[in-house]
Amino acid sequence: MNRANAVSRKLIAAATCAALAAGCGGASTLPPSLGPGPIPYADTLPIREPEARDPLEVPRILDDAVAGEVSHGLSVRRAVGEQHEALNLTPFDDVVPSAWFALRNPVRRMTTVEIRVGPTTGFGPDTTGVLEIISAKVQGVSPGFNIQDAKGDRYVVKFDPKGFLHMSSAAGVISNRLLHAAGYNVPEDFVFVFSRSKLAVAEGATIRGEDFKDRPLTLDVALDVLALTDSLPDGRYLAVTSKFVPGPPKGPFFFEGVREDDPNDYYHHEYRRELRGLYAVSSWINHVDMRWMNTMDAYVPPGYLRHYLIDFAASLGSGTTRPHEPREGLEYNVGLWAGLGRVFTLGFYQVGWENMTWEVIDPTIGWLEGESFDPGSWKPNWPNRAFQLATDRDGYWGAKLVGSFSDEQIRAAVDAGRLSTRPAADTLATILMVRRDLVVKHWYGKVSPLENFEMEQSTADPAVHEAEGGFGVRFDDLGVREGLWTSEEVQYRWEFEHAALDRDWHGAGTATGTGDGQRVAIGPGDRDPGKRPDGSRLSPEGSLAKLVLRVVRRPDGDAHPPVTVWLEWVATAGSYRVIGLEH
Amino acid sequence: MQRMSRGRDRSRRTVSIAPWAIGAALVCVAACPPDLSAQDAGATQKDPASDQFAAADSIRNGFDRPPARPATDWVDVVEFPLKVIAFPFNLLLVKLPGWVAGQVMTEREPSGIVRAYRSMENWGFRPMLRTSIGPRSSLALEGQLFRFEPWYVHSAISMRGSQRHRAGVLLADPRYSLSAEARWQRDAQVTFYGIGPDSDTNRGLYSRDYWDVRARGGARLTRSIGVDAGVGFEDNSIDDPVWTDDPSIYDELDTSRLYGANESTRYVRLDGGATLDLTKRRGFQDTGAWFRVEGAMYRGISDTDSDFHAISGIAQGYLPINHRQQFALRAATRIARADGGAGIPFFHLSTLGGTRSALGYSTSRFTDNDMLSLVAEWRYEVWRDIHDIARTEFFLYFGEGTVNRRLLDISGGDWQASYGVGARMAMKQRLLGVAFLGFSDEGVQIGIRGTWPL
Repeated sequence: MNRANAVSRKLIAAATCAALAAGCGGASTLPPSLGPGPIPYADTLPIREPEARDPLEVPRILDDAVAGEVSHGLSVRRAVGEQHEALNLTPFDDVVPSAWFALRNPVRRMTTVEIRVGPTTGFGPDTTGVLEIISAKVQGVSPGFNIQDAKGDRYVVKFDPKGFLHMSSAAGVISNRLLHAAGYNVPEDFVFVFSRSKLAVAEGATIRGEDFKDRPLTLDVALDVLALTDSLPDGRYLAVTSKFVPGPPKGPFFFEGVREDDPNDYYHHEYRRELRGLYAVSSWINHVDMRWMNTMDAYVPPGYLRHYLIDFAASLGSGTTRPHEPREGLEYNVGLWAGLGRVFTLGFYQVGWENMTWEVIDPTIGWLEGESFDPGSWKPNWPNRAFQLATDRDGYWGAKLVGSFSDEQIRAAVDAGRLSTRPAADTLATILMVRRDLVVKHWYGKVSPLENFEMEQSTADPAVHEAEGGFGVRFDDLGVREGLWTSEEVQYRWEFEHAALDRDWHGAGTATGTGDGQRVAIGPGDRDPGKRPDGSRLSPEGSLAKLVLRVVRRPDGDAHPPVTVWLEWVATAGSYRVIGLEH
Repeated sequence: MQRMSRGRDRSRRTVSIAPWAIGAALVCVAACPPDLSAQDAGATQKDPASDQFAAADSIRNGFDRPPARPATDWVDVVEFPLKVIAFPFNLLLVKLPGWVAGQVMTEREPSGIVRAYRSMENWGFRPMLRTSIGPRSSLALEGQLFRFEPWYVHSAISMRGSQRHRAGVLLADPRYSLSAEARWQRDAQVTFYGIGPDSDTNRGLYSRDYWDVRARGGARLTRSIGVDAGVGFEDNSIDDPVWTDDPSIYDELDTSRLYGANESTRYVRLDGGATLDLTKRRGFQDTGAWFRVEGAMYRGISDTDSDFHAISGIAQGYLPINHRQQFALRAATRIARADGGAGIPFFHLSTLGGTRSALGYSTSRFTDNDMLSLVAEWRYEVWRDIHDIARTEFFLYFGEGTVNRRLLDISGGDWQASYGVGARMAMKQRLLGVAFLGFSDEGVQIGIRGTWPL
């Protein structure tokens, strides 16, 4: 950091403190989004290899479920609507590629083949040779084992519960493909079919029993795991396999704070847009187990921590060991406030799911809410700090990831799950499309979903006088694009402010574009030739102008929260250019 | 920047101390690992990786980017006192239990104590801690010898001085059971408030030492009906309480009229019981009714001039409203009658109060020949594990109970009301524990235990 910057930051901090002390709550003239932005791949610089960590589950569960819920429920910040926005944002309200996130489908539409293949680089374990079982696990939610194939690649193998063949394996792989395409780091997951005769026990392999003691593993013991699942009609077994990620695993990441032994880990996780926006994506795929237990940091070449989401068996209609139930997604496992509600009402207080009737859609799918799904009230099984702090802007960003998937892409992801029947695959794809539309509808309704702003010199509107400085602005209305409303059903209320040029205009108008590309004319409503200050010599701060637009639904006049477009006056061109965006 | 500086300093220091390091190496050459000199030589070389990390640090420090976390604002100022208030609660209710759970659940190499415990258990002897072996709560240590199953020997002693030593044999399968046991027990501090529904709140304590030798058999005749019967011998001696300065019954009460307080008593005992279980378990809830009747006949032997019998009955009903809420009702009675001689020893009379009846009163608060207790509970689920493994229910209860010489002598004024709240933690097939807060005219009682009468 250079000295001048440090001094200016101190001045700003001092000014802020003074403002706070005076109780005026004054803000800096420059909006935060126009300050320094995040730097692409800044967190992929080499670091010393951190120690692997294996945190205990119960203390963190208590922390999340009790302390986290109390502090969230009684939060003054939430009550007064002063939530902090995510911090790692570009001036255009987006993120940059990093060790957490890559710009994939939302930026460049992936082909259906790319979606189906996802993060995989092969075809799963090599079954031409022996599959050596390295270790097995019979305790825990889902028993399984780790194997090494003939090529020396290692995989985690997990099975479907009895009576629900395909359910968790398909859910795991489908969600893997969707999260990958959305931009998150995930391991290479496959639906894997093998015959029992291929299995052998590696020398020195052990098994950890219910008493957490390691014992020598025998093939008979390993094959006991197979008794917990169903075989295919031809006698082979089906499982979901997850290839070990490159680089040694270093334990999970948490959805709050930073990892102290990772100098690259800069933004506190609860203020990362990717993790906050993950709420909308998780709700879409009903990944109720989206918590630190299902994450992993890996020390990858050339020597930094890449942050993975892992194990998606508890998503879509699968609850890993059984189908999902209505409660999952609507109440935390330890719902502090719902529990207190029941305590003080003698059990008469009920959450919506308690009166819901439901039945398994199909044994290969499990149960997943369709048209009744409410993206705003969805909850994972355990409180997640980043999700709790997510604002409407974060939800909208996540919904843009969800909305980036076409019907064909969703079908391609479902195909990767290798469900046993076409009707089941079609049903699951249809439910995902319905849920996608609901996610989009919900979050796009929370903001004015206008994107890709461009300036035009011509107003193309005779009522707005170009001679007075009026201009046109072109943008995409994602609500129109997604079919949530038509151009005729909305108008755009706008306010334009450029103090240095004495411009303070406001108005409303219907768009004049076609499709989702809209155009609105901005300018003084009345001719006022007396006001035309000199715009050729403005200071950098004086060049800043602000355009606030709201989508207003007709005929009821409901206005969405606004989008703020930051403009810079370019004196040489005598026009504005877009330099920032806040939803 | 600091990392980079530290790296450079270290390499300089290593070079400067190399002469004395070499000297020290020469002095202790016999004891030093053979590769030590190689390590030292390696440390003096420049580590390219360190340079790489230092360069990365330098780049990172040069970044101009948004803050890592939001700046403090007025909301933080407002929330600060709330956080200060919440801090001790967080420490006590979240962090401490979390730390304890973490210690318990951390996988680690077993310590010497754990290894010794496991060795004993593997051999057939299990030491364990209990919450009570007498009528009053107390930490107790018990040793269980089960190496020669079905034979067993158990021995326990509590911090109040109670003791229990027993040996026996138990043969059981799902339909039949046969057992024989010889036991010597000392209940070191038993409370006694006098006889009758109007007994004073002043209590006295006594100790009871007794031998109990018995044989029992049980059979499950159908899924719903079970019977059991047994024969036994007991030898009772009453004395001052032990290991306490609390007042004795001999100081507080007139014990001259309490049969059994000033003499040893010996009985042979015949007893039998029958159970009618019409309940069904659905999820975490019982539905239906459960009944049990028991009878016991005591005949004095040797120089004990006392014969008596006692009959008790319990009826429990469960009325689910839905799978989360239900009523539970319980009626319990015990009738003790003298059949001749000096009467019934006071410690074999019927009692009311404690963790199984009239929860708002202390243990055995009321004593007389007959007892009647009625309790109604409203139980409701407040939490259920997402995998349906366990659930917590709360309950509100109201109960009326009394004691008297005869049930027919009970009048309206004798009834003792008790009410309160509690929580039950249950697995699908068994109850894990109950905690309750009971209220009565005499104050508040807090109880925690592993089973529950209803």
